[in-house]
Amino acid sequence: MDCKIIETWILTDYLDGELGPAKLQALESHLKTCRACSDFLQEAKTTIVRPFEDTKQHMPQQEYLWNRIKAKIEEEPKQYPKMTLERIIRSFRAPKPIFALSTCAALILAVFVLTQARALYQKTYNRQLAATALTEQLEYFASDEITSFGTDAENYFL
Amino acid sequence: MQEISIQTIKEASEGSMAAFRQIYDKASGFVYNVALRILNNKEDAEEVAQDVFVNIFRSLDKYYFGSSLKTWMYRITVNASLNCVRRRKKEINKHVSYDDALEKNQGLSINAPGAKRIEDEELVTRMLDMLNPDQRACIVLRNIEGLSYEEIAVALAININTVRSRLKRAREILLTCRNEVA
Repeated sequence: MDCKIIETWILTDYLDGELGPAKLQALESHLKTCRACSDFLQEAKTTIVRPFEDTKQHMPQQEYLWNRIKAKIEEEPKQYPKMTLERIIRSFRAPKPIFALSTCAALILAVFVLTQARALYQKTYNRQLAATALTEQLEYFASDEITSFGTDAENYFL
Repeated sequence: MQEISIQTIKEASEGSMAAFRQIYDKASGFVYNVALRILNNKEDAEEVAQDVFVNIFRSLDKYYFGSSLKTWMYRITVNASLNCVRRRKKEINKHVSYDDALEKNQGLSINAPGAKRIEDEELVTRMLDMLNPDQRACIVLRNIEGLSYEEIAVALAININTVRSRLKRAREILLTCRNEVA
């Protein structure tokens, strides 16, 4: 196996215990036969692993830092979402793709509703016109009184 | 970090300072430690830790309970620290050399300090100083905080292979510069 690949594995997954079983086996059998890679592993352990092993956690001055945090929080108190205006502003701060998508959906819905409403109104209006015309026609035929036969010429002859 | 109960998080997100203090007590150590390791400056680390906790307090109601609180806090801390590094780079006059940083860090409180430990601490500080901020963040999270590659990828919002390549590059630099830092 190529020593460059082995060095890469050593510097990353092997030192960090993230190497899978197959690669681990391949690496270990390579190390048995390659002195250069074995030396590289020892050097890597000494130089880049051991110095970090005994590092201790630095602690802040707990109370001092807490007082600073508390003062800053109290200085600018958190605004809870109780105001409607804030909620509206927050909705505008939403990620752009979500905002754009929701705006498009709202526009499409509005256009659809308006088109449907207009079509329904037109249909109702036409029905009313037809009903009025029919009523007038029926009233005309039901009436015995003939006041006119149509145009002046028709009235003259009939 | 010790476990923080969901109840505590909920109470803190509703504004309870007592609950938030519990979170602070459990997390302040690693937040400050990560910031200090990345920034190598006590005052900057304190400022970043302060901003991180104020940010956490204000964002707790947006925290998604399905994810790890610890990883979420690491993410906020690393981002704040890297932003601070960038700000510091812009402020040329405020540039802190390694010697200045060492001088400033003289007063650091290290648990149970001893001569050998202080020597090791100085070596680690010098080693981290050789790396760029992104590589330093990876090394701190892996070698000091003990996060897995996956946790580092989530905390830094990068691909797991980017974590690998940053660690590899950082360790190559440390190997190359071993005589300078030792």
